[in-house]
Amino acid sequence: MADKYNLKNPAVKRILQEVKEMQSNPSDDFMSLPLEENIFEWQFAIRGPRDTEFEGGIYHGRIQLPSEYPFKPPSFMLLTPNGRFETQTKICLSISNHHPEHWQPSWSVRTALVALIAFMPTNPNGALGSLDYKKEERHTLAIKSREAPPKFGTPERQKLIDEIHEYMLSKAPPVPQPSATEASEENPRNEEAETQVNSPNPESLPAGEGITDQEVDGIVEEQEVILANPAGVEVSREVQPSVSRNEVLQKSDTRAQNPKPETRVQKHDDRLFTLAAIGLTIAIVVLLLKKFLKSTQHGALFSDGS
Amino acid sequence: MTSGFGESTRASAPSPSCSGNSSNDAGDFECNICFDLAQDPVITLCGHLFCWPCLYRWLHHHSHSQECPVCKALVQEEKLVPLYGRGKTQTDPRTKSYPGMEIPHRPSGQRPQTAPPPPPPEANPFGSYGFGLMGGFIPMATARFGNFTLSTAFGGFIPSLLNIHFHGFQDATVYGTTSGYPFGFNGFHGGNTRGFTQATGQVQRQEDNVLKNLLMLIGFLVLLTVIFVW
Repeated sequence: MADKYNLKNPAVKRILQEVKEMQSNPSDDFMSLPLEENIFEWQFAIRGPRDTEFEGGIYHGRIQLPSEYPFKPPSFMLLTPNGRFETQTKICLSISNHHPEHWQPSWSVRTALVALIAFMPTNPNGALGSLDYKKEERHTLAIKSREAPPKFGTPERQKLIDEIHEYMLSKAPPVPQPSATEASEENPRNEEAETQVNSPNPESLPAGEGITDQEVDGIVEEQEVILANPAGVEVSREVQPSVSRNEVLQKSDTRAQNPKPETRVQKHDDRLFTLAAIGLTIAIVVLLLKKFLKSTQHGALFSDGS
Repeated sequence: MTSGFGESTRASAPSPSCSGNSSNDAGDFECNICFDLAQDPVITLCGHLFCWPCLYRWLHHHSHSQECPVCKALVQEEKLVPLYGRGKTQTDPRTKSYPGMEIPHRPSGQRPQTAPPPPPPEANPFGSYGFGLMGGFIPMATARFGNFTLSTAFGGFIPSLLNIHFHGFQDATVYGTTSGYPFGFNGFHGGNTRGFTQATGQVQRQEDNVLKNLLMLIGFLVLLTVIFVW
């Protein structure tokens, strides 16, 4: 595949590196592959986030990378009806080309897909390309999304979509049962009440009898993946400045503390020096006074004798 | 269909081992922008590694502010630190990553001052006088030598002029402190400064102790002289 592309183009080199990484470290949460005829066109599929009305759904989409990638952000378009983002329309996110000022060159398709999964349960707030369906409708759409992949594009692209769909079917667990659905519906309410936009916590896992050990393990792993990647991205933004601030404070403290010991030592020695000098002076003065008194008395005695 | 699957299998089969090995070995030295082994590597104050061409292109052509591509910290070009490995410094112009762009040379490193030399052998003569610890600083040693000679001359002539001897040592102290302090801070950075500061403190403390003892001795002698002579 590498022989077909111009390796001197930095965008092509970067995209090939990402393809290698995708193939060497596949994820259970998403699958993404470029077209062979145009490496700047990707097809992806993500699974619905856990403990939400999207759980179990397989949502396909398309990614268009700019020629100046990674210095310019890509654009994302969802193809499967999902109730959160419109289909056949470029969605508006901080990771898409709607906001190039927020894009970071260190982000990649992988981080973008993880962020997309995390954005699904959030409140759209009227953002461009967003929808706000009811939970029941989203749940129905999630069930439908597994039945068949969407029809889109050329036969080559459709073949790629089918391959991705088969991969996701083998990885993503099925849509939970209605009883589990009710439990999962309650959790989003709690999350909304607590104004939490983060991924669900392991403690809030539904205690359905139908869940086997394997599913439990899978759930834990997937949640770890979800929690790890977005947290990593966010932490890298938040922790770095705070760390640098702490370092600055430590440096300033160090500089301030450096002169103090020396100053104190000097002051201490100066005080001792002063005390010693004063003591010596007092002693000398006392001796001089005694000598003067003696000479005075001697004079007096002499005058009395005469 | 069969041929298609075959192609995909062939394409994906060798990738895991190759990319796995490369990512494991060179992951720590890959540029955060092009995800490849860093070419002309530079590292920012926040600790992120980039190719100099990638970072230059981001800072001068795409970024809306001078921010780090990873953590958005402020990036100042004069504070970038280049990494010099053992490989060749000059590369073939034809293999540059950005043939269409003129990228200047990467910023040079901030080379600190040369480390101070070891103590000179001239410090040995002063060891017998209890000033061996000051041998590491040539200016102070020279000043101390001069003061000592002057004091000895005065002391040799008239015993009652021991006060001059006292003043001489006091001057030496002032001169030593003045020259030692700024030298330490000008010559070192970071951890070295701490170590040097501690050494300076210790030396000054011992010096002060010696002077203190001398002062007490002189005072005692003065008292004895006053008592017995007068």
